[in-house]
Amino acid sequence: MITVPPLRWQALRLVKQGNAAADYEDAAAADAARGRFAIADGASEASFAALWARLLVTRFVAEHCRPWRHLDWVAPLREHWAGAVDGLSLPWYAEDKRALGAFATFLGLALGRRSGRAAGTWQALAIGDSCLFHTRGDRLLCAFPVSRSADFGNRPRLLGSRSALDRLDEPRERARGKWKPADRLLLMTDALAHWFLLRTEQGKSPLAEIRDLLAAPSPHDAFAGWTDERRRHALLRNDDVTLVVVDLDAA
Amino acid sequence: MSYTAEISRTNPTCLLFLIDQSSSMLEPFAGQKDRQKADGVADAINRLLQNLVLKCAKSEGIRDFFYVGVLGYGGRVVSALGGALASQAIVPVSTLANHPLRVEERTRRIDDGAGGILEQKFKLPVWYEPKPTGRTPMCQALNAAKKTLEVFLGRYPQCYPPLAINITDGMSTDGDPLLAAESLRGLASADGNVLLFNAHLSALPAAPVEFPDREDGLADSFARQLFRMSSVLPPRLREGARSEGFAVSDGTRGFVFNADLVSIIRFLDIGTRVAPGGRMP
Repeated sequence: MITVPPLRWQALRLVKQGNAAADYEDAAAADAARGRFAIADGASEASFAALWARLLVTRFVAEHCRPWRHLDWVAPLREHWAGAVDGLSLPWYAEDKRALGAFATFLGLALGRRSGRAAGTWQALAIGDSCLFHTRGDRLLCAFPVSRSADFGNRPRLLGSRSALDRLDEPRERARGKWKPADRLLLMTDALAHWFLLRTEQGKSPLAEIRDLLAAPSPHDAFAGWTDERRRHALLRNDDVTLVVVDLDAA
Repeated sequence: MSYTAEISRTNPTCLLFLIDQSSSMLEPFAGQKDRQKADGVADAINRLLQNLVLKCAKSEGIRDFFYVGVLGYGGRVVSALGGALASQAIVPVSTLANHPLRVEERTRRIDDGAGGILEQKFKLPVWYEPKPTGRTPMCQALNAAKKTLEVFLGRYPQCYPPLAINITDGMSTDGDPLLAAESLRGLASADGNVLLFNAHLSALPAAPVEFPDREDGLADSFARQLFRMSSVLPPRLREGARSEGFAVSDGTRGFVFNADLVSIIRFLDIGTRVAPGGRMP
């Protein structure tokens, strides 16, 4: 039987500098009891993208079937999204944008282990450049789906809310790995993931920086200050930022 | 590095369109007897403005990443926007969005992704209607653009460099526009010099040319002159062009012949592009 390992998690998020809190278009969701975590990044040039991103993450963590294996669970969300926005009376430009649909990148993670075992496996599903990093101590074991900072751009693969406009070529990628007790998994939307990979490539220790932030009396305040400073020095691209940290308990 | 400033609501940039409204625009377009160049220009500018507005449209309204102006030159140089926008040099893109002259409803057919065709209604806003008259004072228009952009740069000195986009059939009647173009391109923000791009609509039925890097092979002396007036694409715009399949080099210029410049709007970076499934009209 597959069970969910004991773990702790937390999420940190920050809106793009210059935007209001309501303009945040990333999303994060977790169901620790199911071992499920997800993040999404609503495309800034799309409309109603925050709603689409929220629908994706909340469904992934609640879905009964194994949602990392396919995208069947997305179809009802498209209906839900259309139901929420299609009846709205909008100016011409918002109508046109709505007709195109909303778009988001997505990363979903599921953790499990066989009863009685100390270690287990993780499964991940990705569309676009929302990223997962599997770490052990100070070592980066796996970066998925982007593994080099140079591979980020402003045209990631996206999951659309209108199936008619989607090419349906299922641009999803899947990965799996084995975790051990005390491993840390980090989910990051693109701006932060880019920073993380770049620092790693430069031989720095981004994991230590994140560890310090999480150890602060208020991780949210520490994260906000840390992010502001890096944006000011152009070390971190100005964008919505989302970080979910999942810690497997030590044996 | 220049041409890297973030385009944002607190640090917007400006797009200034220069539209040739001279009587030569009554001639047929690219060998098509029943289509005047003036209609080609009107289509081009309305599509450019529509794409610009859509780029900034969010669920809650328009985000003012851009200020926009349209200068017409035919006989004299005037602001070419009508209705509530008449006589304003530049307006925020939200003001533009909310004040087209009219919004027409059309239908387009799209692939439904499952082998069928869907009919989709869409709105086509019209801000600009052709009214060709008089000669072609292109130098005056470039000088007027310079004055407008000087004021904008005074207000936003750190902005992503403003873009001037000139749509013409190429025959300036008030002198050599090369000097006026050079003077316009001499303006700069802290992030780089003003960019001047040119779209040449010709009566010649020659094949369209998009973003060339040399003038040999261009159809006539007007095309070559407009090529020389055009800015070299900065790296990010060049990469945008490359990623859409245009063959570009370090010398690629913001110039098209018998083609439109709508793609330039797509290349401007305001955040995650909607590219794979969702195609902008």
